[in-house]
Amino acid sequence: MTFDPLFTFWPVILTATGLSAVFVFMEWRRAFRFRLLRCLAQLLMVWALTALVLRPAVPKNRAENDTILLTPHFNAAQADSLKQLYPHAQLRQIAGTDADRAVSTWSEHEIANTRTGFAYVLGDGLPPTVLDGIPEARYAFLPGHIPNGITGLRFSRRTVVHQTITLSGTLRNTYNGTRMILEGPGGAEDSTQLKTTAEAASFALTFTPRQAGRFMYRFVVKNKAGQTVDHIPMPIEVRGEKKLNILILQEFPTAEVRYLKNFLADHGHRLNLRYHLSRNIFRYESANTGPKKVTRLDEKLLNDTDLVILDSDALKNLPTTDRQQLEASLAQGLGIILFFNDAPGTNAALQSLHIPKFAALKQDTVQITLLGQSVQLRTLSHYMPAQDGFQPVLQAGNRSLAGYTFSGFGKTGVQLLTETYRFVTEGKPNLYAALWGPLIEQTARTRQQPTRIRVITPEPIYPDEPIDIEILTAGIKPTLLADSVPIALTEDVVLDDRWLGRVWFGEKGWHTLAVAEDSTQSGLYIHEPEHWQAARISYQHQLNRLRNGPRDAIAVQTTKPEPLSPWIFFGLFLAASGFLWLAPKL
Amino acid sequence: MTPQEARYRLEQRTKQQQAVLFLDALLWFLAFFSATVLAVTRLSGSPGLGAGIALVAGTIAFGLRSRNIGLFAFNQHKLLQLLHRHHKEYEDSGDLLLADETTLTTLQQVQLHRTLARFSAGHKQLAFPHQLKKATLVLTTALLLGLLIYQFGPQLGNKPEEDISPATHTSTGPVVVLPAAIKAMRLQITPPAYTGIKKYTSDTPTLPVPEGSRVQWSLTFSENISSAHIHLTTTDSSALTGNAGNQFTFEKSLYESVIYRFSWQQADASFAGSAYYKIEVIPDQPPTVVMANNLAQFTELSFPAQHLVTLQARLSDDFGLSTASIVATVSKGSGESVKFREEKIAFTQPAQISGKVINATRTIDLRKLGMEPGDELYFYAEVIDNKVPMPNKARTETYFVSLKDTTRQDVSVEAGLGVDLMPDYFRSQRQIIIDTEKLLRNRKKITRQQFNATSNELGYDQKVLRLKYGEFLGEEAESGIGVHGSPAEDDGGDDVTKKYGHAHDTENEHNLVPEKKPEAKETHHHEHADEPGKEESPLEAFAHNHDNAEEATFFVQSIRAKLKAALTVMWDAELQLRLYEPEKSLPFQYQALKLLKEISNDSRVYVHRTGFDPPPIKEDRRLKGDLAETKSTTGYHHDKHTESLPAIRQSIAVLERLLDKPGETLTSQDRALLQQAGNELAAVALKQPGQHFRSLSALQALLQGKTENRNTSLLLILKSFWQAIPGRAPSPSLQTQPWHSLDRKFVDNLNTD
Repeated sequence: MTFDPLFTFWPVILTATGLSAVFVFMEWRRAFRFRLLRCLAQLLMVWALTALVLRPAVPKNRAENDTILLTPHFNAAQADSLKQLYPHAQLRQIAGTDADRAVSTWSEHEIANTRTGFAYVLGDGLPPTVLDGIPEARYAFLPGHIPNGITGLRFSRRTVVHQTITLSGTLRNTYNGTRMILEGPGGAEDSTQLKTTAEAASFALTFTPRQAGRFMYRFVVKNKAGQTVDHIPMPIEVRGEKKLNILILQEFPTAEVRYLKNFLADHGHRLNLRYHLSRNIFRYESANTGPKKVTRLDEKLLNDTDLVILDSDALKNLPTTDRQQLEASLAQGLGIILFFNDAPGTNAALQSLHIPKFAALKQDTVQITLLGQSVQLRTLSHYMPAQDGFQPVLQAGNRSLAGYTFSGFGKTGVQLLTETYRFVTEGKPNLYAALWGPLIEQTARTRQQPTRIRVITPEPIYPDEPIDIEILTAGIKPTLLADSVPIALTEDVVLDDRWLGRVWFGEKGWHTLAVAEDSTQSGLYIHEPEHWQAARISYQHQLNRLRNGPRDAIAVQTTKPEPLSPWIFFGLFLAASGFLWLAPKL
Repeated sequence: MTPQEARYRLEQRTKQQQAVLFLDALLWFLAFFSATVLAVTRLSGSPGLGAGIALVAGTIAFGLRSRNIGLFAFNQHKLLQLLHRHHKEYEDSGDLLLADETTLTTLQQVQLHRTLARFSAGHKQLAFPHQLKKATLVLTTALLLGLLIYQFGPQLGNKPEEDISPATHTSTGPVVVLPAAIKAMRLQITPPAYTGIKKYTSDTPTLPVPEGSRVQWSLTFSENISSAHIHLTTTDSSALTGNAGNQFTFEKSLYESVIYRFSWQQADASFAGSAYYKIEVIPDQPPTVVMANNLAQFTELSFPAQHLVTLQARLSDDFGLSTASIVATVSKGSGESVKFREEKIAFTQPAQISGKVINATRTIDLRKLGMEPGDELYFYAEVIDNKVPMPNKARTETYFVSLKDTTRQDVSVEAGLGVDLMPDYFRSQRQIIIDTEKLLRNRKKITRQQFNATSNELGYDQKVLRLKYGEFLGEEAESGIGVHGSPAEDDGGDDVTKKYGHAHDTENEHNLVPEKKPEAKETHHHEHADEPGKEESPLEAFAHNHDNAEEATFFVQSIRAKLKAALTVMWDAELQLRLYEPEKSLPFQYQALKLLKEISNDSRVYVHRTGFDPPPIKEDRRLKGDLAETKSTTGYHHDKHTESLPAIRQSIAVLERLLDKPGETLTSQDRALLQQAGNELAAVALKQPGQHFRSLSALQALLQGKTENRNTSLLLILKSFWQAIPGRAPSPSLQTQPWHSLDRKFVDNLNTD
């Protein structure tokens, strides 16, 4: 027998012994009937109380983790085999499991508080919310089958209107789907052939949204007969284009810049241009912003500008103060794209902008691939070899013809392709946009955003599930609004300005997460529970595999003291004290 | 059985037989009725008309059949006739059953009892022939025939929508169910007077009308309403005229197709609207004019024998012609002294141009136009229709008539001039002819060696001339049969001739076309020929593709063909000269001269001057470098970045929201926005016929809360909205990112390192 005393063992024994002696002596002296019995009752009462404090336990042989936990989609044959192997094991199931046998159900709370633990988990595994409550639990996980559907999906979260978005992923396709179609609000956007009866058929579908907003796309899987075998909703939030402030400086007007100016102005970007026509004579132009004469490059002007496009001669002829200001603004995040009017070279002005190094190219034309098409363009007979800090944007083979280098927070981009405006004259605006868009976008200033919202909980998310939100801020204390309801946030104890919160949404559909101190908003879609089950279960399998413990855990027999019930001693105490109260009256 | 009982049985039997006959006639009626109703309904498209005609046909069939089988004349005597005919055992004594016994003779009474006994025993088994099987067969056949016609027969009643002839005074569009609140709608269409189409009315709201028609809508509502508006895609909404009641009208002249709908405020102040309807405006087609006689586009006449040109033109228009004329331009002179004179000549037959189709003729006397040999006449026929206010015009291609120039201009060297200013090493074709003829004349006076040498020199001159013209054709190097080497290697090069020569009889005699620089030719490397897999580019249309006679762009096709022919003839001329046979060479030389002359005339094309003709800069201001008046300028590129179809773009978000939350109802703002989006979509639908019309109807039903399957309707509308938004090339977008203080420290430290 062992004890689990509430207080130190020996003082309790000594006290009990002393009290027993005193009470027995006093009882012995009383001149009533049942003297011997009364003395025994006194002893029993004192030692019953002592037992309540000492909490005695009796050693007992039993198996640790003797529970087999069944979760939805478990394999019945596996459960039967385990039960046959370990007859003394107990079967339990979690809510939602249709075990089709007399098995008691454990709630999430019970699982988190179980003292005996569980050796095996069969089926889909424990959901993330339960796993969070038992961080130390280890068990043998025997996964069940994954239902048909998309098990994994990858796509850029930066979905901007008019830009092509690719959705790629894997589909568990045992329902013999032969064709997968991506349908948007306007009908079919793309389709692909599938490998039939593939455990994981990969797919990649693209679409180009025409409008910003929140839309419901759909993956439709059809079989050989053309019948729809699956229909998977795909909510997508498309963001609008944000306009750039661009300053163009040129030593003389060129067709290249004129077409570039028209392209940017037609897309709503705010432009200011300055052409040097003659000595002290300039031509100023502006688009989508008020008329403005850019006479000198001051700090305010460049802080308001996201991108400066200038040619090498204009840079060379800039006044020293302007050039110094340009360098200072570049370090603070300004983007610069440089044109060369002739073969690119280096001089002090160019070096100060940290332009990349160039290497000579034998031919003056190159073949590049744009939007899947091979096109030929003229170059300045130079290219930019791979070098530290250089990020290529357009390449012909392994030769970079457009790219940028980092300089502080800013970037200096270089375009070595010339006569690119021919795409516009040939009526191929998409090729022109594909050629210039990435360079301009990546080189332009990245504006500081006060806050950023990120949903940590992986999708799909179903109604009434906890959703963890992370907010990164630039030094402000944010207020998270979930559909206009303020949510409490806690700041990361280690990292400043990282805030965490948890929300629950009860209804399916789009919900909005917003920061009150900023215009930052993020849409979140709550799915119906029957959708995206394959992805959810696949993710759950991954989480449960991380908890994989020994497969023979159930076989371990241990001797463990089992505490005697305090009710026994309490009952003895009541009986003894009751007798002592009654004995004088008998 | 007593005689009375027998008479009763006979009467019963007669009625039974009458019923059989009636059934027979009825089957015939049904046969004709059903076949006719099916056939006429199919052919006419009107079930009412079909039923009417079928009723008549069936009745006629019934009457004829009844008469044929004697339905209405059938009585007991007829029955007894049948009895006697088909049952011989009654021994033609059936009539005794009907006779009065008291009047019968003994023998007749004996026979009566015999007949009564037989009748009593067998009257139940009496059977008479009938033609019900035949009638059933007729009915079946007629039904099959009718169904066949109904299924596959032609539809004569449905006229195409484009048929807007004046005789069409009734509805021509598809049957459209009017909303319940509009009791009746009548459109009165008044086409423009010049079309000659009379005013007509239509009960259908969707129909085609001629361009410029004035349409009056007259609406009768099923109950009194406060006000009504019409919403046309081309304009904003307009109020219908009419006092508060149930009669409203609206009038408008239509010059382009419209999609429209009505909305009205009901007595209880609630709003209601109709579906969308379309009026397609059939534009007035421009007139056509075709030169009827086989007049070649290029005609050369021998003057003065041929001085009359007869023109026949077939003019036509859909509504009528107003004027037609021939616009003729006479060109005289050559080189820079070419003069043009334009005249407008009316057709002589008919004197007055009117009507839809006219065959007009005119004979042009070239002498009256003041033309002389060598002159040319360019003309085309122009026709104008009767459309008002802006008539349509059409014209033919330009035709060319030239008068052959038979005069000969010889180059003569002034006798008094001591020096021949014409260089020897470059001669025109005419000079080569003169020299060849001179050589032939002097043949006997000179030695054989001199003759051959001169002939060879002339051959060389001919070659130089051919190369010169070949250059115009785009040939940069000597090319031809059996020639591979460079002319410079053979004959000392032609660069010398180009440097000092003066080419005559050439298209570029007056330097209208810039001469190509020899150095440009030398430094021009044809790299593009070596580029593999070069993509075909539209720029090639504007590029100068060298050394390919087929791609040369100096001349139009006909001139090029003539020039090629001239070069071929020059080859032959040179060949004969090189073989010392100048007499054989002469015909080729004359042919070459003729072709060159024709080319010279063909290239004389009159083109109207267009655009701004700046005044010349004064010479004293040129090249001074004076920038005193030159100042910095500013330009402003106006914002063209306005998104098209704004209501449709905003409505997409509303539709997505409604799809996401099926229980949500439309707010008043949503309704207004969707209504506006519907108008924008209607404008798009006009440009894309056949699309979006179902969506417009679904949208209207949605706004009125009458949609049966809201989800399907929303998806349909959303699809149309999305498809209506035009695609655009992607644009770079500003990127944003929260800068954590650690980010800044990290980059700062990088820079420090």
